Amino acid sequence: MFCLKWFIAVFISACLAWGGASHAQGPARTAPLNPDAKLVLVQALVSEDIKEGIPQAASLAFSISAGKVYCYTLFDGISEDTLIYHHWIFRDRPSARIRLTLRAPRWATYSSIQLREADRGPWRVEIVDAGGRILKTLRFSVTD
Amino acid sequence: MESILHFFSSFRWQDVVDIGLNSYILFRFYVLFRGTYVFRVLIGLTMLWFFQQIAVYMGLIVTSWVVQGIVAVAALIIVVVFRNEIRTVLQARNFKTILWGFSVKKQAAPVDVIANSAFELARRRHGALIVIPGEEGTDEHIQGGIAWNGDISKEMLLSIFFPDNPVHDGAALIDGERITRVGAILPLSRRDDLPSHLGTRHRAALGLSEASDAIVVVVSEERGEVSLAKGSRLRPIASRSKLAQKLEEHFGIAESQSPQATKEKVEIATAAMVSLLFITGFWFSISQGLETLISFDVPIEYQNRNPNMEIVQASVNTVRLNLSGSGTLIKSTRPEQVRIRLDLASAAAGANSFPITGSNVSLPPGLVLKDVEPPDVVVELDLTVRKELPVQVDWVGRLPENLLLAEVVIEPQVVGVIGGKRILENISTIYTEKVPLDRLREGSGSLEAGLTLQPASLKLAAGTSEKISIKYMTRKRE
Repeated sequence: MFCLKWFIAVFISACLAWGGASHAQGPARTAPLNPDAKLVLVQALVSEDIKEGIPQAASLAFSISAGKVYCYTLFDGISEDTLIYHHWIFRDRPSARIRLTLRAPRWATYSSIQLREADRGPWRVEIVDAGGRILKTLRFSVTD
Repeated sequence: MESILHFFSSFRWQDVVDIGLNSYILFRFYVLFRGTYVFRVLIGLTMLWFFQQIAVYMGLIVTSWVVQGIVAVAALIIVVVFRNEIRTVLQARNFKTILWGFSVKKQAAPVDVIANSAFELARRRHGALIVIPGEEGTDEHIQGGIAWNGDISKEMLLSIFFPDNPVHDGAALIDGERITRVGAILPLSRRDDLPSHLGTRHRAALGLSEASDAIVVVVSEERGEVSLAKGSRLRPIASRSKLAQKLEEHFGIAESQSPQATKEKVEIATAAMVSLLFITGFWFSISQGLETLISFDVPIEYQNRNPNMEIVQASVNTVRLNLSGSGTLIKSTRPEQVRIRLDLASAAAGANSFPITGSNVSLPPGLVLKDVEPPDVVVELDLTVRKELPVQVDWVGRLPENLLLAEVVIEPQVVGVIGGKRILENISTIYTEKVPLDRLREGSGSLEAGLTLQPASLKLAAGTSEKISIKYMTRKRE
């Protein structure tokens, strides 16, 4: 009975995460990443949209008319709840710093930014772990 | 009284040197060129210049223009027409003679023998050239001849210049009490202002005396006259005693007693005094005229910068200097003569403030620095470092609606950039120049793009290519 309850709780949590319901900017409820843990960034990409937890139209150049850009990341090897950050940087100037929670053992999460007229140009998203280590940098452009 | 005291207090030692030096140069010009046409023409030009100044003062516009034109053209004509005379004075003589030479030969020769022989030769109408060197050597000017090395005697000189003697047409050189060389060939004077009755012998005498400090006794075969060439002058000598006196003057034997020498001394002293007065007047006219103010916007020059540092920023690039001085000096001042140099030897990384004072402003003599705007310049320096920076493509334009940019691989991915440490601390990516997306086609392809370095003080490290290659892949939207 206990096993069934535990399974249901995990399943619901996973569904919520994959459904992209959260930008995960709420207060931290998890411990910082253990440096010894083998956190693996399985996939990272920038896309025009995310539907049902699946990134749509991944690209490296986005039209300003798309209105939004998403950064999708999938992690594996999560030993305990931990934090990661998506740093959105426009022409070497920080634009947004979004904190996201990862849950064990495998988790996908994403963040997004709303595009404005002045946002045309080169962008990058730095995916940073709780210890400040840059795990990956995604580079893209916002164009006409 | 107060104005006199003010005048003397503003009189600098450089002004004394300025007047003294130019007076001496003018005086030396007189000494070197007196007796020649050049000197007479120079006097004429000076008078024209004065005339032009008077015309300007009186407001005679056309007259002053015409005279100014004549003076300008005449100065050019002098150089062209009198190039031989000028070359003779400035090149043929040695440096010492040009600067301060009043040569006096110490070793005496039997002047009476030479004088008697010259007039005896004149009586017999035997042409002769007798060279008596001064302090300078004459070897470089004299060619040919036969070594003689005989004691001077009247009979010897008469026999040398006897018409049947093979060496009688050349010159005899006298050194002390000996005739050292006979039949020597002297350089001919290039002057074209000599009287037509003077022949080659006189022209040769003058040629050597112009080129050196030697004097040459010349005896005319046709007229039986004795002349003496000294410097650029050729003077007829009326009597033996006169010739003897001239020779003694040359040797410095009877210089003090001779009325001619006294007259020459007075002439030289007068010339020196006139030179001094002329230059003093000229100096006052240009440096002590009505005071005028002028402003210059002067760019700042930096020197002694630590090679490991670079100038990141300066509060101003030019400084306005307000200067005062006489109207003449101000009018003749060119902007490039006014400079500001800041010494960065003691500057450190960061902001450094430098006051602009007389010590770092260089002005033409006679101008005074009145004011500086702004009075200080702040120069920001930074240490030069190298940083490896990733490269990112700066896409512009728009992809066709049905395409997505799936993958981009650039080479090199990282470039070395050299620049100010504080600048590079805030830079984490180097972008390419703008690359239009409409150049991309469906599938894969490649293109090249240059790098954009902002700010412009950044430089690519040696060996880094300024172009990067971009390989891309597009795919259709699903």
